[in-house]
Amino acid sequence: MMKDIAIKAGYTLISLFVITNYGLLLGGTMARVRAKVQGRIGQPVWQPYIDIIKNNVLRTGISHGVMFYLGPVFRLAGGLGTYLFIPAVYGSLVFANFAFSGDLLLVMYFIFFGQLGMALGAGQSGHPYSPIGVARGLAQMSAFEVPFALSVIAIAAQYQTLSVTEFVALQQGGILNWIVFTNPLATIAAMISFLGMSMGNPFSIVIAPQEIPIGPPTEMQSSFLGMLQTNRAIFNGAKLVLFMNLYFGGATSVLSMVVKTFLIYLYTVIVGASFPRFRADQSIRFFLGIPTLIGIAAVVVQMI
Amino acid sequence: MVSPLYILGIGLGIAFLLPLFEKLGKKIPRIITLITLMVFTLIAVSWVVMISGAVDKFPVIFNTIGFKAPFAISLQVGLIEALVLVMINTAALLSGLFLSLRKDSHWEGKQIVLFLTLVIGVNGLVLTRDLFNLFVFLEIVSISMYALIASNDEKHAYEAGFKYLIAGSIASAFYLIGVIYLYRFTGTLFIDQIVAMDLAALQATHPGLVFAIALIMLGLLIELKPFPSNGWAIDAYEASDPAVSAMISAVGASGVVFAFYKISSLFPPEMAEIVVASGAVTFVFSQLVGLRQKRVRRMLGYSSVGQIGIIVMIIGLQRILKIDDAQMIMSSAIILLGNHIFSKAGLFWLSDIFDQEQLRRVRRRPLMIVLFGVFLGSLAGLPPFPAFWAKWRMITVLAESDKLFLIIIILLGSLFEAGYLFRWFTTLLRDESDPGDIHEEQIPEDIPVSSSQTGVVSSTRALAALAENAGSVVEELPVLSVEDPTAAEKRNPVVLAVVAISSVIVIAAGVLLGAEFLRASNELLLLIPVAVLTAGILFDLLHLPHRIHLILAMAGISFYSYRILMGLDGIYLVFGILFLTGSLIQMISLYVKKSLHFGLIPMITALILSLGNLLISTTRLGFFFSWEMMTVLSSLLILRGRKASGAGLRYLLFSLGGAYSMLIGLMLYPDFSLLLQGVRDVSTPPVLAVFLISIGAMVKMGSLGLHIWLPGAYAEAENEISSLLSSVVSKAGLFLLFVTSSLYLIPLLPSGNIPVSVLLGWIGAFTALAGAFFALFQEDIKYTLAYSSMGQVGYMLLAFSLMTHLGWVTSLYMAVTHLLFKALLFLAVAGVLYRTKTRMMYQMGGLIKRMPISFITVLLSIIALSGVPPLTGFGGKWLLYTALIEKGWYLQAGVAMFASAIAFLYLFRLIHVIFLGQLKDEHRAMKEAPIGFLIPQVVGMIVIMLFSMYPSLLIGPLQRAVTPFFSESIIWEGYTVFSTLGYWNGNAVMYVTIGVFIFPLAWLLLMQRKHTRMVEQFNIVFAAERPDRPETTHFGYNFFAHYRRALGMYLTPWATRWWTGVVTLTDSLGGTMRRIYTGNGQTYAFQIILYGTVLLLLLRGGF
Repeated sequence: MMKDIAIKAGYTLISLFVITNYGLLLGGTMARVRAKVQGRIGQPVWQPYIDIIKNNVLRTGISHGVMFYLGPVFRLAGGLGTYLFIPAVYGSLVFANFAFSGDLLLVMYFIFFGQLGMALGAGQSGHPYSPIGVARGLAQMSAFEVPFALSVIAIAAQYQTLSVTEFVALQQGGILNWIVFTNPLATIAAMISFLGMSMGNPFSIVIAPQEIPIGPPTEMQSSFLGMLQTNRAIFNGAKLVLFMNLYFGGATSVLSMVVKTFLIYLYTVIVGASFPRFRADQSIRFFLGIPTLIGIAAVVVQMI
Repeated sequence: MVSPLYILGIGLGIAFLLPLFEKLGKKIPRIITLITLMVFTLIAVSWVVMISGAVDKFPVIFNTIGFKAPFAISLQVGLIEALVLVMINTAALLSGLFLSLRKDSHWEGKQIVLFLTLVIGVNGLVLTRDLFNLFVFLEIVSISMYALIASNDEKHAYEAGFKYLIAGSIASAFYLIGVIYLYRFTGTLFIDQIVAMDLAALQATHPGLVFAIALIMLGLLIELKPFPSNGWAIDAYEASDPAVSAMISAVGASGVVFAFYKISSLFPPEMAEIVVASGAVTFVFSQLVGLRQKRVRRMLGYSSVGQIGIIVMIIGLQRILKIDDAQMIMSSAIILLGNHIFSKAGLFWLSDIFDQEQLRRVRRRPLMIVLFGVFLGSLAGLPPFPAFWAKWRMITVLAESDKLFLIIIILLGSLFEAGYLFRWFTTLLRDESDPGDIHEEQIPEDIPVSSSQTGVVSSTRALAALAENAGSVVEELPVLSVEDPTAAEKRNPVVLAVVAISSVIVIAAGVLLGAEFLRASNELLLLIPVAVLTAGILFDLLHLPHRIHLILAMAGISFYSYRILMGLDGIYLVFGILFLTGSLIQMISLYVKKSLHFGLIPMITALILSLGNLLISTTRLGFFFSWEMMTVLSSLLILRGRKASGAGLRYLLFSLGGAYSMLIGLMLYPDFSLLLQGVRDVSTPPVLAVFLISIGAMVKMGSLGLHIWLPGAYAEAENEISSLLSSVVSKAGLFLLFVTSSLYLIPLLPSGNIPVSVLLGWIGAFTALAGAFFALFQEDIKYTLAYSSMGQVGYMLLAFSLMTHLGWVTSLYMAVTHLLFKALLFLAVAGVLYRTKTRMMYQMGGLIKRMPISFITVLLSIIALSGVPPLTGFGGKWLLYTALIEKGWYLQAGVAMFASAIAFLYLFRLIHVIFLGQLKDEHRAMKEAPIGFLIPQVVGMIVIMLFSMYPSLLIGPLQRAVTPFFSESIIWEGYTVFSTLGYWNGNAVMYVTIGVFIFPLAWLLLMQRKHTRMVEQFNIVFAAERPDRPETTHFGYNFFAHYRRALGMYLTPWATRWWTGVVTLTDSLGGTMRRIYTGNGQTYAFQIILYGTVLLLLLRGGF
């Protein structure tokens, strides 16, 4: 029993180590890609590491209260939890994580856990920009959840399962088994939602740098900020893995996971580089419009 | 046996001698009259006693001068006569007492003589069996009434009396002509003799016979003020002295009604039908016109006319129905008559007292409120008053004879009547600060904040302004408090005592009838709430400390719950725990109140017991009675809120409408028993019945479209009541759905296979979505919570409608967990409101430091409510989506997910705007909520954590409760629950969450151990400026402005518009009809003639 737990703990640490580093490097790489598009050289790929280390060793740290202190903890816990409830690599014991705790619904709802904690922490700072950012973020979230939820319902109806592992298993055996091919409508709806989820342009209103200096984390500094940056890497990784599992056949090895998630992420960067930013209300209307209709179409197809 | 002649003889003798007695002293006639009336009453009582001992020997006919009829006038005493006389004479006695005891009483001289002659006349009307003698008494009654009306000081009194005279004369003329012809055709005036003749044969030889009877009928009918030819009567009610109006309405009209009943045995069936129609039209249209009426006496006039109308209708019906049914329905007419006599008289008297004391508000006069409520409730036919039982019996009889249309008429009229009567109630009851029409949040004016101030506000003026502003929506003030027994109550206690006697009669009659009705089905236990309410209110008069009352009540409820819950199992037990245990825990918060609140604890106790009674009632009557009790008590509790008069009224009307709808549904489907049957043996009820019953349930649940009573009721009620209503009482609707579940699988359309439950499911889904969206845009915390409850109950409806094992488990799971979260949330918020004295969220902020425990409660409950793992709310979402997808309800699942995302938004806003952000100056010295609020919160949090760790603790029993109705759909393996689609291990989720939380926390503690510094408020990086005022720095107002902009026209309140339209239409319909009452005597006379002509033509079948 103890041995099992120790082994599981070891696996978890390996899994987390891989996703953290991968997430950080991915972030650095994409920052460079964006810079190239804009005609700049850009930061070094390892810049995220430097940022996190710098933030953690700053000499001063300012807290606005208990909830402020716990905010980043909630956020990181949310990121870690989300990742740990998803099986990262199909058939791998090391990367199976804690997927046995619950199915896709658990993952979808656990995403809120970190968001809520972070929003509360930011709220206690008393900075008006934080809740403004949160209000926008939440509103946009509720809107992009609609096509995503419909897409998930459509594929759940199609495959009669809600287990992420099952989804991956059912997509094995050739590229044409991937849901992107078996259910393109659901995939399109979900991939549009994914743009909102990644908060890149045109859905970057949440952190809108020109209006409300980076939104929710405005008051975050030192190790608080460091923690948020770490989470950004992990949480991003978790979301990419989730979408890969759901629509792109999952991964049977770390390498295929890296390739697939890289491409999925690149897609958001390409879109982001090509479009200007929506206002919050425009973004809400956008998601509740065409993407939702696509989602409904995907569901209706399953009903007939 | 005392001969009835004594009544007439003594009465007439005394009446003529009164002027002589007056010479002895001004008060002597009064005393003698009262003694006479008492003698009358005693004689009638003695008859009742004798007759009930030997029913078969009665009725007895008394001959007057030694000859038998038709050569002399004969009087008849039977059970009905005796009963009616007891009621009439008691009412007359009370009236006499009232007139002589009231302030500045001028009851003397001719007024007393007229009063006495009126009473004698009415007694004669009841007793005589001779048609011409009937006419004589009718004239005696009428003439005394004209004179009594005209003797008032009011400037329109003469005019009104004269109009009454015109109308009365026309009626008498009709009657007399009819009698003359009838005598010519039959050769006798003795009613029994005419009835014994073969009227059909006689008709053949004398074609005018029907016409003669019709004229007699018409004469009496006009005296009964049928709509629309009754303007003269309404004017009279308005212009005369209220105490006289009481006599006209209670005593005079009752006598004429009885006379009408007497001659009804002459009516051929087609005439009886016309009478039914006339009664029905009068009942429903008088009430409709009454809706628009603002002047109280006139309004009471409409009500009197309506009440008499329904009795006329019954008199017509008993000629048409089968003999058994006719007797049944006649007994309900007698009950209705008695109910009308005492309540209407009581109301007229009360209106007189209001005038005398120049009262515009009665909020602080508990006894007055009780009396007022009793009379209004009994007139409106609410339980436990006599009219409720009478109407029940009537409706049952009508349903058996397939007269659905009449049932609808009766219920519609009753609804209108409840509408204007209780509008009067709420108008008088409301607080000075209550505009009476609050149904949505009221955002106070902004107060300017000076930019020159920095840091903490110090000037007293500014602080006072802040406090005043914050206090503008304060609600936690002692309401109906009897801390200071007002001297006013003692102004004229004797008169009030007379009124009280009348109310005691009504209550006692109601309870006795209830016992009689419920004894048949062995459900006497259902009357417990009534007993508790009565005893509790009397107990409140002892003015013992509030907490003693509370402890006694809770002990009583615990005992009751123990007894009830022992006998329940399955789904009933789940609802038993929801209703009883759930309420009991919330009652702890009442401990916070310091002073006695009159009637509060008895009403809450009775409400909870009525809810419990829903579970043990076995018959429709029992169920409907408990349902109505619950409705009435909750609306009374809502009315206690300071600005809740409008909301309380709306709640009452919607609930009554819902209850009546349910009642019609039940009547349409007589074979249906209100016992949970599941859906295995699907019956085939009429679709309309299913709709009506489900509307009854959905009104209670506040489903979309029927929800507009909800925000005001939940928000404007006092905090403890809001909590109880939204977390417990709203589930009564769900219970009704479960009980009637076998109905909802029938096809929606005759030629289709989509069951009704699909429609319910969609309503549930959209209720969830709409509730969440409404909640999103509220600034007032209580409105947010109210709409939130609406949305949550929508999920339960959705899950129930699935009609699968998992669906039902989900519905019950959500009902239990919602009770937990919503009670916690309401209690925590109640604590906040108790301290901050404002309900506007944006006026709060930063309270986390002042009220940490409340913050934790709110945090936990919003995590749970929004369904975020690891707390137990996620279980509800998991079950719901799994159940929906299993059933194939994909789009509904999509709507539910959207709703749940929106719920997350408003919940975050709630916790942020109250507890985070900037602390306001006026809250700097605030303390944590009182302990009475905190104890239930802590208990609740422990339960939530327990269910979160071990979901099987809750899901397991629910699964077993539902299993008898469906086959199992989920299985357990250790802590993991498996459905056909997925799985969930609450235990593991909890451990993983704890793990991933501790890890970063430890890291942060390590990294920050040395250099973390706490900073003061406003120490933030704010565009190079240091913000100085919390009001300008706290982002809380219009939090989701962008969402509002994004949705635009989709936020139009369609339901509100629709219902406003319905109300406007009804109101203007009533207003238009009212125009026939021109106030012109000639017009009235014309209307009477026209009415008579139309009726006669109808009888003939055309020209």
